[in-house]
Amino acid sequence: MLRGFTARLLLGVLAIHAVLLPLLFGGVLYLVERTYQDQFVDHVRSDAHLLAVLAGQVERRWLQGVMEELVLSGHVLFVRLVDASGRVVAAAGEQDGPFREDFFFGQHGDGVYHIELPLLGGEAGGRRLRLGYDEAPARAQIARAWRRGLGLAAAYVFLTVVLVAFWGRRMSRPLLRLRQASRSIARGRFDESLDVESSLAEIRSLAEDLDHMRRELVSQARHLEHLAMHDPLTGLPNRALFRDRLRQALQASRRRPAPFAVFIIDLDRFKEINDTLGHNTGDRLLQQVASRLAAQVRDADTVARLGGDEFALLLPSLGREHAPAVARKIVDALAVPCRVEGRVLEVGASVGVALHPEHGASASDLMRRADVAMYAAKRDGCGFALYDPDLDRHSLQQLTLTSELRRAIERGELVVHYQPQLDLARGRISGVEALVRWQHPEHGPIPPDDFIPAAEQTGLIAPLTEAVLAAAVRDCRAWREAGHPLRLAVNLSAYSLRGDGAFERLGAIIRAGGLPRGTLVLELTESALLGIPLRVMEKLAFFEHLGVPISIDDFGSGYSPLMYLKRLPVCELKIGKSFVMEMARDDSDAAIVRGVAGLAHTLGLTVVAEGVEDARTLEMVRALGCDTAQGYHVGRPMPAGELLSWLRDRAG
Amino acid sequence: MTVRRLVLVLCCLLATALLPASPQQGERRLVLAAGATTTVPPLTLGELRRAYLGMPVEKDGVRIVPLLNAGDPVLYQVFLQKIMFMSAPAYERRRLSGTLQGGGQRLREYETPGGLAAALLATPGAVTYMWAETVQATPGLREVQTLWRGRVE
Repeated sequence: MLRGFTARLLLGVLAIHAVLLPLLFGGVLYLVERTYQDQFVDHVRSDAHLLAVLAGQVERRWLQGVMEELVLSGHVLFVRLVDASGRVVAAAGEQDGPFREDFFFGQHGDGVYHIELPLLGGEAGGRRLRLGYDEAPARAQIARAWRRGLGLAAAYVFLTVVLVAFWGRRMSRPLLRLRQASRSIARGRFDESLDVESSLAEIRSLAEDLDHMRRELVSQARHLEHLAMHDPLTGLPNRALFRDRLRQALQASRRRPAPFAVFIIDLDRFKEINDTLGHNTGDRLLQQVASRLAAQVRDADTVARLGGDEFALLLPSLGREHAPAVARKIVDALAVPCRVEGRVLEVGASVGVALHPEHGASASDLMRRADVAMYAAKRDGCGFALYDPDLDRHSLQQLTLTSELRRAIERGELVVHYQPQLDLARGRISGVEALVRWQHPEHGPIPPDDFIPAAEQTGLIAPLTEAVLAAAVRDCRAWREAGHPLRLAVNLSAYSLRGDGAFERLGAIIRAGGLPRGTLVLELTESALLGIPLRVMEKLAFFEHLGVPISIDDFGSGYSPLMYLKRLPVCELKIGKSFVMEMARDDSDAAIVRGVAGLAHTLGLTVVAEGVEDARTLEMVRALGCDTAQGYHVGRPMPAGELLSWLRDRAG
Repeated sequence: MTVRRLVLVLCCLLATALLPASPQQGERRLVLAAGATTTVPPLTLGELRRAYLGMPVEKDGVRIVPLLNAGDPVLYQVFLQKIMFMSAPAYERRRLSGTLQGGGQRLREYETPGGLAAALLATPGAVTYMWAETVQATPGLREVQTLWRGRVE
């Protein structure tokens, strides 16, 4: 009840007045009372004195008349003239009670001021005059003064309470307005401006501060809303806003049927550019792509960045007849090389198109189907593709394959086969390459080319690589214990090196295997090297510390800078099958093999020739300077269990 | 008890009843006091009033110097009622106006009996009003005259 500002103010004022009012009004009334008493006493004393003087001058017969006149005046209740012995010789008026002289007002509480004076003058003769003055008129005056004073005090208190209540309410009104405003702000209603009028500078200042806070919140909310709905790099709507606009388009289409198209655009070589030239270049490229896309569409269209190098378009009123032309225009616009930081970068795009209403009635359906079409366009290299239900079936198969692969890794359905490698100088088997095989319980053996890309795209490559490495290291140690100190080569996907802790997990498997240094070799394809960011590549030295060198697989088939050979802990180059298998028919391939072998030896590296499928090729690679041969002519890939007997048979 | 003895007691009681009480019980006396060595003569009521209103009074070659005895409120009121015939505020106003108009010195006031007695002794012609018992109890003072006698209840 007393928590309100006005109530507290009233209470405070009343408390102050409870102390001050009695002091102030009590003091004033006391002085008034004393003044009235003094006036009365003064009047009595001077009156009695004059009468004593008069009585001393006149004859007794005259004195009796004066005494009676005095009593008739009303102020004097009685007069007695007494002689020196105390006997009353003349009297007027009625005397109640004994005569007790007063020296103060109300001294005896009998309502009469008794005073006795000797007669002054020649006729005195020791006589004394006793008078009784009525105190009632003075008391009435005093009582009236008290009543008026108390009335004034009550009126003062009443007016004070009214004024304080009025002032308190007037002062608390802006505070209430501030409270309402702050609650509105707390509820998220920032748009109501805060207009608080007050004569108090503190309240005005508080209102200004609150309004400033509100404006800041509005600004921050808008900024957050923009951040939540837009891509900070390109300023384009993000996935959330794109989906929202797509839903709006679908609702509008329900009210008034109209076709529209959804384009999903994925840049083709963006990842390579981003990894090799850095994120800054990649970001500038994305900004240019965004500008180009925005320039190709109408104002009513929506261009959004969904994430990474993926963009999307929402094109209202676009049907099947015009969608291909627009898609082509987009592809052509993005095919024009971009100039970023002084470099000319070619970045193509694959566009998938889904149309409403024929390809879907929901946002998620349309986006998924445009996505499927985009993957089809990317796979076929045709720039753009319109969604086709057949594409979806392929996607479904891919999805099924992925989930089964995950299960296969978990259940250990993947097996490792080993293909022998022949030391050409010594003519004996010096090592093996571990090759993963998937024996599907229903579909039979599935070739690596069918499931490795899927594993790389879905992130399953890391657990797959770790499973293969662990199994191969375990088998290699078993062979060594059986008296076959073979070297082991395991393929490493660039994707398996991504993610937190990838190096640590691989390192733990290698350490747990306990193989001698140099026994294990990790093979990275030349094209995989391009996919490894520079910062990750620098961490490859980690394997060198573990005694595990790197072998570059399919050397010569890609575009890797030779600088890598110097930077990386490379011990070996593997010449791709395409060169080795065609070597007998194509002299240039033979020259390449010779050149690679020469380069490798110059750098202190060994050379492995893959794809040796006949004796002639074997002799050629030996003659061209290769150190090791691998291929069906040397030995087919085989399970670990068969390898030992194969080695024994070969030795026998 | 013998008859002779009973008669004696009755005689004593009779004598006690018949003899006048002097002074009467509870009665007090207001007197004019001065230093014992001074020669201040008795003053009339008019002279005393004039002196205490700040007017110059000289009698028998003695210039009267009135001193205010302000230590006892009852005494002061008796003085005002019996000598000055006015109330305290009226007397103070009169004193003030008399001082301002006449150009004389303000009457000296004394709150303590010691200070008042010292002033009476030190000032030639100095007088003041006191209860008679106070004068009797204060060495060096003397009663000049009785101003009033009566009960103060």
